[in-house]
Amino acid sequence: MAMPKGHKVKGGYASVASLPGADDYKLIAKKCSDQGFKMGHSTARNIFLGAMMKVADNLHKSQGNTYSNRQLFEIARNPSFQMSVAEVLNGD
Amino acid sequence: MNVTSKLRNHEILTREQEVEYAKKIEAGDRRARDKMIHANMRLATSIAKKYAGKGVDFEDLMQESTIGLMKAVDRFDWRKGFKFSTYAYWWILQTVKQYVESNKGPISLPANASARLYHASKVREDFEKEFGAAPSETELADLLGTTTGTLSSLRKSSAYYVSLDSTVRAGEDRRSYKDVLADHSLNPEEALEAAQTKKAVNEALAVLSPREQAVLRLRFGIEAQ
Repeated sequence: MAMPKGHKVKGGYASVASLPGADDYKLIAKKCSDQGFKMGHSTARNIFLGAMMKVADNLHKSQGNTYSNRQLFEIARNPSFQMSVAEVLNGD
Repeated sequence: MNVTSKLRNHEILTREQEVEYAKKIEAGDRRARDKMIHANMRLATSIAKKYAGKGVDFEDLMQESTIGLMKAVDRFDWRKGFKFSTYAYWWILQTVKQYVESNKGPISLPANASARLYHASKVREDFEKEFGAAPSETELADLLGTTTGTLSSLRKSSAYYVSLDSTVRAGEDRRSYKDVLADHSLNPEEALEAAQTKKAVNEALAVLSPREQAVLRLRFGIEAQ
């Protein structure tokens, strides 16, 4: 899909390449479907971003801040934020 | 007057003079021995300089190379017809190399291990010259006829350590390694903040549904670890 002229992605794209053992959305969808959570690759991405939004919301609430859904979505899709959550989950 | 200027005062001996002095040394002439040693100090210095900055003091290197030179003077046989410097070079080199290998770190390597390491560095240099890129560990191990494991252990044991109190810059503006090295450990405030963030993330994860948790685990590769 062609992007509008002048479009610039903030913080680049999130990639699974830097995380050992991480799967892409197609594989996630397949594995989840096998586990009983039937889904396609775009649903997997939407679920992932929704989960990241919940994490971002709870994090900010714990610090006394509230953000709009739009702001939370921007934070959730930010690769740096995703990597930070991954680090915490991996116990680094 | 520094050491180099002092060395310039000693004339280099011709082949005939070398034979003449060697004969006198054989006859027990101490002054001839001193003269021979002094005349070849430039050679000893040049070899010592090659090994400077390898974890030992230059003064100690000079002392060792002089010891090597003295051994060469005592063992030189003028009847063989070689120039003294040709013979002395190997004695000095051997003494200096042995000293560097046994004093550059807390772990003393056996002579054959040191020789293999030296050989490895030469092979690496030659490879770089020929192909314009450094060889991989496997290529280097193949060229040396050894395994990557052996090569890695040799390299680990040859690493030398530097005291944090040793000087980086001398003089009025003296600095030690502990003054210039950055401390990457977290201070108490940062550590507390990190712990709080971790707690908050874990609490946030607890509210996720099993389906969301499954996707997150797969996306971050947690299941695989």
